[in-house]
Order: sequence, then structure tokens, then C-alpha cells
Amino acid sequence: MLQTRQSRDVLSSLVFMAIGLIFCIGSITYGDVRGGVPSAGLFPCLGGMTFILLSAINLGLTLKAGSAKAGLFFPQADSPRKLSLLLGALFAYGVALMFLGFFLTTLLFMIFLLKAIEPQKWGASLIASFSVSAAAYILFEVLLKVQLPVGILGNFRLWNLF
Amino acid sequence: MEIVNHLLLSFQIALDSGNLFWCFMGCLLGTLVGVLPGLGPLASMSLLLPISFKLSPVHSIIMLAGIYYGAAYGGSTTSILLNIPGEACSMITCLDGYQMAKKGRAGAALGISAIGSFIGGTFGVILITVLAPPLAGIAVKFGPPEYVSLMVLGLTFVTYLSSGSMVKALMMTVFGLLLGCIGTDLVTGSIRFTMGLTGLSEGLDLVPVVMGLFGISEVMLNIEEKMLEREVFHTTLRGLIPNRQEFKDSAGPIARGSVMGFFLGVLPGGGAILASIVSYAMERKFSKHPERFGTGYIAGVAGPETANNAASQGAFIPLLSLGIPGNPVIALLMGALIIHGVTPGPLLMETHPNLFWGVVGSMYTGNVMLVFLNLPLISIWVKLLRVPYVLLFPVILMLCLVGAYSINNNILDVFIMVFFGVVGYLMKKFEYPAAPVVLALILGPMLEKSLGQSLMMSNGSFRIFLTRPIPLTMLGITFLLLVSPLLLRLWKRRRPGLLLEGQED
Repeated sequence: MLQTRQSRDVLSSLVFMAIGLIFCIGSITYGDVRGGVPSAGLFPCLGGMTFILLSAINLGLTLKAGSAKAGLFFPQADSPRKLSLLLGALFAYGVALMFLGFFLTTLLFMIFLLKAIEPQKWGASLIASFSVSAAAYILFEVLLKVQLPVGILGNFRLWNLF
Repeated sequence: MEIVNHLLLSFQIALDSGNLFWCFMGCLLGTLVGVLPGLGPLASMSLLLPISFKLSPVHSIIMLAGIYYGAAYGGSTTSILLNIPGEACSMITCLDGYQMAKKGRAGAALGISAIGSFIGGTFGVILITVLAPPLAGIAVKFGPPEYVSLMVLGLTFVTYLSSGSMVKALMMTVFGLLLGCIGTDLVTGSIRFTMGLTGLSEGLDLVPVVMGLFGISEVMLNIEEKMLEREVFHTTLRGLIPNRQEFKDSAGPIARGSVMGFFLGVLPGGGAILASIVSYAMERKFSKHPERFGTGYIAGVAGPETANNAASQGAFIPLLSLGIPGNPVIALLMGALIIHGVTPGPLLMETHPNLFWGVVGSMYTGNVMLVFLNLPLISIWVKLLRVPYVLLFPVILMLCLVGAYSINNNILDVFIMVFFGVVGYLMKKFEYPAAPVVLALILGPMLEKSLGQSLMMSNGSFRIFLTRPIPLTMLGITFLLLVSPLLLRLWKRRRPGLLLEGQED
């Protein structure tokens, strides 16, 4: 499955046709033209119909062209594992950011990536993660004054200990 | 005389210490982005866009513009030393640049690349100074129907010039227009396609979408491959000056690349990539020694590198004069202007002369800075190339995450970025171009608004686009571009039949 160009193009064309249909159906509720004035539904309806038409043309051209071998969808055997870990980490970052705060979340995120994707030594991972997280904190929070979540650390600052 | 006054104003603003500093930062970051494969100017500018909010509009745009044309300079370094293009516009440089490096002439390749880029960039800025004001004067007379037709033509050009299937490129353009419908309709105020999420009522923000499509997806594609050590060629500053024969061989390509590159950059959808490819093809076609191309011939480096920098400058013309971005990177700059409360368009020169001429002036100073950044500091850039990607990609992801969150302090933007990261990854796997999506996302709301205004002018009739000369001409060109592949195919099919008739006679 998905090892030929044709199978990929057929699947993608069908998905895009469905998206076009969603926009067309959704735009009905907004109306099209009232008294010569275009309503909110006109543009998405036209766009949706065009999208369905183009997807159908692409589907037709694909079926006519026949099957040609495409490159491997996942070039390495462990690609699905790496991608799953990466996406999981990105999603977890979004969830954890408000609770743990920027510094802790970034630190854990970096350690996880350096150990899970292409495992590095613990020492190098911890040093690199801490350095990058600290540098990012200084750059964004201290210098640029970007409002980032503080999380469970609250307003604690390491230098307050000294 | 007016041009001289404009030039004096632009230098007066550009040589201000604050503007010089941010121009330098933009050029430095742009070179860094260009040198490091995997992080293009589009993703990098979107990463730095939230930071630029803290700056004044002039400083912000000067810095972001510096990143854009700086990346074109820096991309040649990895092309020549690693055979990996740092930027898409530098991929042609790999053909001869890397071969020159293998022959021990990496320094000359890097040197002529920087010199050609400087000449092409400076030539481009001079033409902006001369052409932008009269073009803006013409554009002031444009009404909504003219803007609709211009935007439709621009989007069509982008799809026409995209590599791969034109149908797929058109699909992605329409996809971008549909994404632009999410949120509040500018004309009626209706909230559309938000799925009940209040965070989407302002529409999809450009920055998370761009970071996802280009930044996150690129990391996803790179981590799939084995992250191996790269072989990097050494070079010294002494070896950076080409010899007399190399200068002689480069003069013609640099001159032609400057002119051709600039005008290709002005075309919507043109840009640096197209300019470098066309320059290489043109030089090989008209060269007395075409067999030398691909074996380490300096003309194969000089022409494309000059053309891509001239094109980077030319791409500013539609934005500064007409208020229409010609490519996704310029679209992002336009987004930055709008966020700062500046409306780009033909009146920009009158309403914000300091911004307009400050940006133009900073391009002169930026081109000078980039020569010094790219030549004497080459050893530093080479050291950076040795940083393993396995250490770089977590930093890139972290910057993307912070950048996405800090736009509106809204966690939804982070999830939108991750979503579009997956979308961008799948688009690359299924061979759909992402650039038209970004351009259409920016132009979509403007197009819809202008379309609405045009239909109000004509009481709902589409004939208004056929009765006015400029929209009629532009839509005619659009139609020809769309049907030209079909006509070409039909003509090729007829040719065997015509030859046969000729032979029988």
C-alpha cells in the first residue's frame, strides 16, 4: 500500500475531494448572494467546488497514467517509531507547557528528544538540554520579555538563592 | 533628481545606528540560516517574527528582509563545501561549486559566489530605487477589480512555475484560499469553519502554519534518514580570491545574471530558485565551452549565485509598489507589516516614507555587510556545519514551539503548528507543493474582500472583470497560462502527423 505513485495520488485526491465537499456543504449555511451583495458563503462555496473539480481531474489523470513505483514511504525501518516519538513529544509539550512552565517543559522535551530519537550519552544529553533551555530562557524571558508560562516554578528564579 | 533625493533619504535612514544594527542582525541570521541545511528563510523568518513584534516596524522589516537576502548568500557555502544546498535557490550551485571544491578551488568558488551575490544584489537595489516609485504611481489607479485580477494572475503564476504537476499546484493554491476562509469574514462579519474553537475566530495565523509546513515537516523528513557525519572541504581566506582567468570567465555570467535575475524575481512566483535555474541553463546554452559545465566551471557558480540574489531584491517590487506579495517569503514580510499596523501598497511611500526608503537603503548596506560576513568569517560557518544534526533538530523544534506560542500566548497555535507539520510532511510524501498554500493563505482574505467590493460595484455581475481593460488583460493571461500545458500537449500530438504528411509529399 502507498508504494506506487498511483495509490498515493488516488488516496490524496479522494481526501481532498472530501475536504472540498465539507467546505461546500458548510458554506450553504452562510448564503451566497443577497440582493447583488456577496454573502459569507460565496467564496468558500466557489473554492470548495473548484477544489472538488481539480481533485477529480487529478484522480482521472492518475488513473490514466497508470502505476509507477515511488520511493519507500518510510526510508528506514525505524522511521515510524522516530516520527511517533517526535509527534508525541510535540503534543506533550503543548499539554505540559501551561502546567510545568517554559523552562521545565523545554528541559524535559530536549532530554527526551536527545535520548529517544538518536540516543546520545546521558552526560552530553543533560548538559546540552540544560544549556539550551537556560539560553532560551535568558533570550526569550529575560532579554525579549516574551510572556511565557511559569508553571509550577511560579516566580522562582535560581539567582534568588544567592 | 527625485531619484537622488530618494537615495539620500534612504541612506540617511539606513545609516542610523539602530537600523544598521538590526540590518546586521538580519544578515547574520540570514547567513546562518542559509548555511544550515534544513532551516529555510521562510521557517526562520516565521520563528523570528514574534521577536520582531518587540521592535519598531522599520527595525523589524529591515531585520526580516536581511534574513531573506542573507539566506541566499549563505546557501552557497554548503552547496560548495558539502554538495548539499543550504537553500533551495543554491541547489544549482552544487553542480559546479562542489566540483570546484574537489579540485581544490573551493575558495575561488566561495569568493566568486560572494562577489557575484554582491553585484547582483546591489544591481537589484538600484533598480528598486528607480522602478518602485513609478510603479506605485500606476497602482494608485487600481480598483478592486484590478486587484482581484492581479492576485488571480499572481497565484496562477506561482502554480505555473511550480515544479511537478500543475494540477497539484493549483489544488494547493485553492486549498490555501479555503484555509483563508476560516475565521471571521472581513465583509459580513460572519464566523466561518471554526468548529466552535474561539481561538480560530481571527482565522489561522500565518506563522504557525508556515512553521508547521516548512519547519516541523522538514525536521520530520530529516530524522527519518540516518543522521551521518558529513565530509566538509577545508579552505583558507588566502584562497578566496579567484584568479584573473576566473574573473574573466565570470564577468559575462554576472552581468547577465543580474539583469535576468532581477526581472524574474519581479514575476509573482518567480523568485530566486527560478532565477538560478534559468541562469545556469542560459549560460550553458550560450557558452563557448558548454562541456565544461558540471565539471567545476566557475561560470556555473557565478551566474546562478548572482541571479538568485538579484531575484531576491526584485521580489520586493510587487510588495513595496503594489502591496501584493509575489512569493511566500515576501508574503510573510507582508504579514509582518500588517501586524505592525502598516498597510503595504502603492501609498506606502507616502504614508510611511521612512519605512519604505529605510528598507531600500538597508538593502545597500546589507549587501556590503554580507560580503564581509561571507568571506572573512567562512571558517566559522564551516565549523557550524560540523554540528551534528542530531543536536540541531531539538533546538529548531524548541524555537518553533516558542515562536508559535508567543504570537498570541495561545496554546492552540502550538497544536495548529504541529497539525500543519504533519500536513506538510504528508504533502511532501505525496508530492504536493507547499509554497502555493502559504501565498494563497495570505492573499485569500484580500482576494475575497476585493471580489466582494467588485461585485458590489457591479450589483453582483461578474461582467465587471470583462469590461475593464486591466482585469480583462490579466485574466486573459491567466487563462492562457492555465490552458498552455494542454495546448502544448495537443500541439505535440499533432506534430508526428504533420511530419508524416510532409514526408509523403
